[in-house]
Amino acid sequence: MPILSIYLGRSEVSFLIFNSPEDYKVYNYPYSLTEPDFIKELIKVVSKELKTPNLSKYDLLMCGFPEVPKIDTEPKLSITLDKVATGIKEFYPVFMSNFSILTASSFLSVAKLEYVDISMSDFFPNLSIYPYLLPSDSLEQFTLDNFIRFFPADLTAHNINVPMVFSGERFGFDFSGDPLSYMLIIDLVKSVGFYELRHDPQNIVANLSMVAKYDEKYSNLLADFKFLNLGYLVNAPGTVEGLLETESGTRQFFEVGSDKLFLIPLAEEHNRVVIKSSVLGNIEKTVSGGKLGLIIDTRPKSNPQIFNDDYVEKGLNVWTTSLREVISSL
Amino acid sequence: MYIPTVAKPKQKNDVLIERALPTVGNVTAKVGDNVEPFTRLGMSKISYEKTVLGEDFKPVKHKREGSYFYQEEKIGSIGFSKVLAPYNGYLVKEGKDYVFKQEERDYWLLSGAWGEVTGVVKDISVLIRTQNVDLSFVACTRQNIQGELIVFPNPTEILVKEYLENFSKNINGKIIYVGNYLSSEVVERAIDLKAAGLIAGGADRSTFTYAKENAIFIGLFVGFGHCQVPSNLFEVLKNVSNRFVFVQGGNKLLRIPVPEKFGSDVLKQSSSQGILREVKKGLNVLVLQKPYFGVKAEVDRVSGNSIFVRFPEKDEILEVKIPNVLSLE
Repeated sequence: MPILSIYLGRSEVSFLIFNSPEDYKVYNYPYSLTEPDFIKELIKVVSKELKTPNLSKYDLLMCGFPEVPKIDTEPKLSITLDKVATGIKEFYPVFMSNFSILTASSFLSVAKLEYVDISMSDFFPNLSIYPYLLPSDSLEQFTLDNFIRFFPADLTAHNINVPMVFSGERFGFDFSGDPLSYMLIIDLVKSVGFYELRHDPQNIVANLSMVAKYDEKYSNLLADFKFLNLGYLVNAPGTVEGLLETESGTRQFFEVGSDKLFLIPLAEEHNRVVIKSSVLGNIEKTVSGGKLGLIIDTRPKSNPQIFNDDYVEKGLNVWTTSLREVISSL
Repeated sequence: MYIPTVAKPKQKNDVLIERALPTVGNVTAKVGDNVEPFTRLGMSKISYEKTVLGEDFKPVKHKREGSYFYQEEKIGSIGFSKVLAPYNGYLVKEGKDYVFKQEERDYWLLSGAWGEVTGVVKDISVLIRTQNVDLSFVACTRQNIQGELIVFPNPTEILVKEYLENFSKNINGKIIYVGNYLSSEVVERAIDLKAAGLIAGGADRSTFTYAKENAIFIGLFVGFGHCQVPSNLFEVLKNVSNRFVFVQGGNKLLRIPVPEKFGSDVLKQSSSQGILREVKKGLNVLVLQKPYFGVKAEVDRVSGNSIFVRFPEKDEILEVKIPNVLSLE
């Protein structure tokens, strides 16, 4: 029996119509309502839009947070997002929405309002009424992102040895791959270390995980799924020296001073990178491709006294310009 | 593309409301009585006003705590200022302070709703089974209030205050629908006139906070900013002006009692349609995007994830990104 998995977020509803790992459809609906008949009606709309009749007869799986919404039909599997996140071992998931972050180890909703000048417009109070609203301009988006940008360092990752996958409603419907979004991802990883960054621009992680839990024959679904490779992040405040060696043997030395965000595009081949830093020591890794390539970040992100809204506002233009150039050069 | 509709008025049957006397009195209604809004349920005596005179107040000679004074009669002085009775009443002491209390008057408890009495708490309150039309606020303060609803006919912003002044002699304790936009000036004047609550399409956040700080109820149907009230809500409101209504701030509801056989085209329409509408040319929508947040428009065309809408009053076309728009139909 084909599967219909639904993840109901606070600002978006994500559908996965799953027949097999090779045959599936994703549909993100950019509104989320609490009315009891909303999901029932939406299933009919999705069925019509995707030309998939009898969707209501599929095996229904439901995910939500902090509760799974109740609908007329009893789902075959119903799990809250926090339990989905803790069950994922193949990578370290980070679910991001406008006001919260949920990871495999923690959850935090809006904590530090002082980082956000909510008096600047009626957009933010209206967002609390209509949580699905899109910001009208990049200033509103930046201010909105600041709700979660300064969450504590330990929240997003600490001593992990699997890739990090960034998912959630922040990237769902109509995601344009803008530099501000990638900037936010980089800013959220604060602990010192070397990280592999993956991105889920379809907001599909929760639904894939539901399918993998529901049917044992899809237990490798998460491990096999190809998320967008963003690149490799070296988080090391202070000066970083390094060597990048390509498969063909060309070598490039680099030195990045403190307080910098430096990006090196990587070819889709096995590149060897050697990093030397006072906080990381000497590390050697094999890296390959990625939308942003190798990201050397020497900003003091884990120090909230320095890494605050003023600091980010001053450097944002330079950092997003670097990101834009790497993205547009691909 | 399908978009959700704005929240519609809903009729709710078998709703229980409690009507209580402000002080212990005499409840005359009995279980099983059929009641209408002006049916008297009971009576008690209350003092409507009191004035705190403070510790430094000195009563006039030969008068003391418990003395009765007629309006305008000298009751004492504070320093060199003479104090006159603001109304007929008694001088009493509360702790160290002298307080002047208005003479108690009869308070008649009216039903305020059509229905049947299903319970009575002796000398205190009555429970009535009734039916309502519920209108949802998108944002409101949390008080539960009740009172007569006064509906202004959606006046332009400059005329709202004039409407308020024209009603000023009779606004104490009432709930006023002021129109599309509620300004801070109107809130200040309504506080002076002792209105119980203000309802509108939108208000600025600072106005909302000011109302909250001054304990006057404020309820918004659309959002923060200059917003327009959807026509179907105004259709309901204009037909129930001067009716006794109930506001449940915690549930964000304006509950309007209606007779058992209540027929309204707006309600029939909203109960027969679902939540989602296909976006087509001519669909009436509510824009939720700067610079026209909360303004009504009509769909001109759809292009990918954008909807181009026309504002009938402005002859202007604006590109609105989905999901910054809701259907009004």
